[in-house]
Amino acid sequence: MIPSRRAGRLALAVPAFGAIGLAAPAAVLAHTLNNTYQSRLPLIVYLAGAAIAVGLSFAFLLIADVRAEPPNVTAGRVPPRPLRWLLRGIGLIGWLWIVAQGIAGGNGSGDITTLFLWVYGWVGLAAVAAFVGPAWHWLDPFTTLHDLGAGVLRRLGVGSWATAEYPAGLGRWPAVAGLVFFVWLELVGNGAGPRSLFIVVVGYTAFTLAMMAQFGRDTWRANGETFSVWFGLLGRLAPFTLVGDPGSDRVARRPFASGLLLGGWRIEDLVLVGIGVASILFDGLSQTQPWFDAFGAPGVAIKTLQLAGFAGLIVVAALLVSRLVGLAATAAGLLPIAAGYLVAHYFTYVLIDGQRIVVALADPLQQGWDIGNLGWAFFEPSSAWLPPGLVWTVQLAAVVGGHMLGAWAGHVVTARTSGAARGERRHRQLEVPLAVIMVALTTLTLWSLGQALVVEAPTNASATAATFAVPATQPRSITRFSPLPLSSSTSWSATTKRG
Amino acid sequence: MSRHRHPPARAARVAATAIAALALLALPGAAAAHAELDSITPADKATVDGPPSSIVAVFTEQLDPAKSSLALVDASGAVIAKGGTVDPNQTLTLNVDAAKIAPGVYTVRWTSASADDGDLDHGTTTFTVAAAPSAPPSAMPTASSAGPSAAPSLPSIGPSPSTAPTTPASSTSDAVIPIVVALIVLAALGLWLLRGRARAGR
Repeated sequence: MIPSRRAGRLALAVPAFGAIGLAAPAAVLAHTLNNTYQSRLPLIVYLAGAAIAVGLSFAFLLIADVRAEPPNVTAGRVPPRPLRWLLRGIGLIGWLWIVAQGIAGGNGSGDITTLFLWVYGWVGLAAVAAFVGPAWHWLDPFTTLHDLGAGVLRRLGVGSWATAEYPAGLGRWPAVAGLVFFVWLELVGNGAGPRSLFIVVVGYTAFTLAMMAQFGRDTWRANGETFSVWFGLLGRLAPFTLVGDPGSDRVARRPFASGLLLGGWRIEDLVLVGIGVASILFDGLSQTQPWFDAFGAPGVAIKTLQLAGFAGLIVVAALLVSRLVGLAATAAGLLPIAAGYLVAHYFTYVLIDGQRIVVALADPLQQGWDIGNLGWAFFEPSSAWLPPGLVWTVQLAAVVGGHMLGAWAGHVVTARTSGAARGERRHRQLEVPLAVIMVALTTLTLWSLGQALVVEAPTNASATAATFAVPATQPRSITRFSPLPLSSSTSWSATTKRG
Repeated sequence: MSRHRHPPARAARVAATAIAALALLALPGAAAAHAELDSITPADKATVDGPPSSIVAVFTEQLDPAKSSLALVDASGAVIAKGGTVDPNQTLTLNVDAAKIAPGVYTVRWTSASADDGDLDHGTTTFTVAAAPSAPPSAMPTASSAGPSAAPSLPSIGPSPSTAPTTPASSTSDAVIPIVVALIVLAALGLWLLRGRARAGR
């Protein structure tokens, strides 16, 4: 038996290798260009390198037949009260701010709904959930509102009522439905203005509170509330985790990514992860030139069908692989990929568009104010400080690291669940489809990311410029790193000129 | 489905209906309309002889007077004047006390809200008041389209010929180094894993 310490060491070593191995070339070659990374290596070299790295990590894992045991963390400590209250306060203030701005009807680049729901929430909190710990457990404004409401009702003398039993057959499917909705809203319904987003937030709050009242707060959070379920799933990676009964506040430390080895995977989890991977991949691919050439800029209905088709394909593929390799292995293999893609595609979005909080602070209700006359309302997000070479390095490391971690988790879980003895061939063959899919996904993702960022430089400059340039026919400005909806389109690679 | 499967089905229906309702509400609305700066006097980056008595900004749309404003800011960041009156010609005028304006560089911060949907837009322009005491205060002719410009401190991110880098001559070592590094790291990882296996297998 290999101690779980080994698992943690490996879990760290694998992505670390990805980061080191790939950071080196980019660091060597980084040209701090304004909006593209002028690499002297053709994109294909990176793609081949990444594919080889992922492929070889599978080979090494199989040859060495790495084993690991899931961590056994039971003890834990409740975080200090001030921290818990701070997080709860931040979550509640964020929610109240969204409501206040929505009621006031303001709309500008300091739009707080977009900022909190998409930039800090969908992307930022997901990253925190995956790489730090269960901050959402306390940030979650729905839970705080529920607790406040319950407190008020108690004061009013309204007794508590017995909650309905949660139908076992529902599983986590309500959360899947919610994820589908939010993914659609993010990628297709992004023409929706802040007004619509505000309505969504209020509607979702009402729905969540009603379901919490119906089935119990913790039951609904564990099964139905999309953000809690999705962030909780990503939290299998995190070094800090909630332990104990549902609703417990105790947090324990464990090796990064070791939570992937724990049991308890449900088919809904795999579907959630599949949708997560598919949506990010779709977002990247649908902004590339070949995609544009093939499909143009479709309307809402067509794009909905495209997204559904693409996500359906990935989810079905994941389900098929899970028939071969097992549910736990497939889900554990895909989850780090989803986290890696999230970082690769969206970290610039948080770093750049997240700066709009400055505008929101100066004009909280978007009424044309500039509180303190500091000029903060006139702030425009800057990307000048972020070298594209670094962006490309992080993207490479995140995608390749996510896949390598996925390869490790997939292998270790397969080895454990198949019950194969060390060195036995049985489960090795099982992993081949997983390896093939991973190498393909790595290449595809990096290719889509590289389209907008990596410009081949020297010898055949004119030819590559034509290949990589975004066409004038494309009806929108290049918001490659602002793929989520924003009221104003200034972003990474767009010019500062607006409108 | 048998009778006792009823509750889940109903709950699922409720959930589905609620989500469908949300989806309908969230359908893309009308495109946001911005009242963008069409022209401004004094023009952006212009030098004027003597202090202007007013700042006049013309926008591409009718303005919401409650949310639209101009602010004149001196080089130290102090606000000299703020506010302005909106007239139906999509124009926002800020009268300033010329006596308060010494020679120097000034920034105009404009905030526009479309009368149509209240969408906010922001921008800044600058002008310089030259130390030319003999010249009478005169407003510059309205310049054509100052354009919504970024604050001068923000570098333009757009691809422009002047920022195109001069690419150093390519050398093969550039491509070889990373590949060698990656191979060494891979080999090291492989060895480490194999050694661990040999030890564990013993």
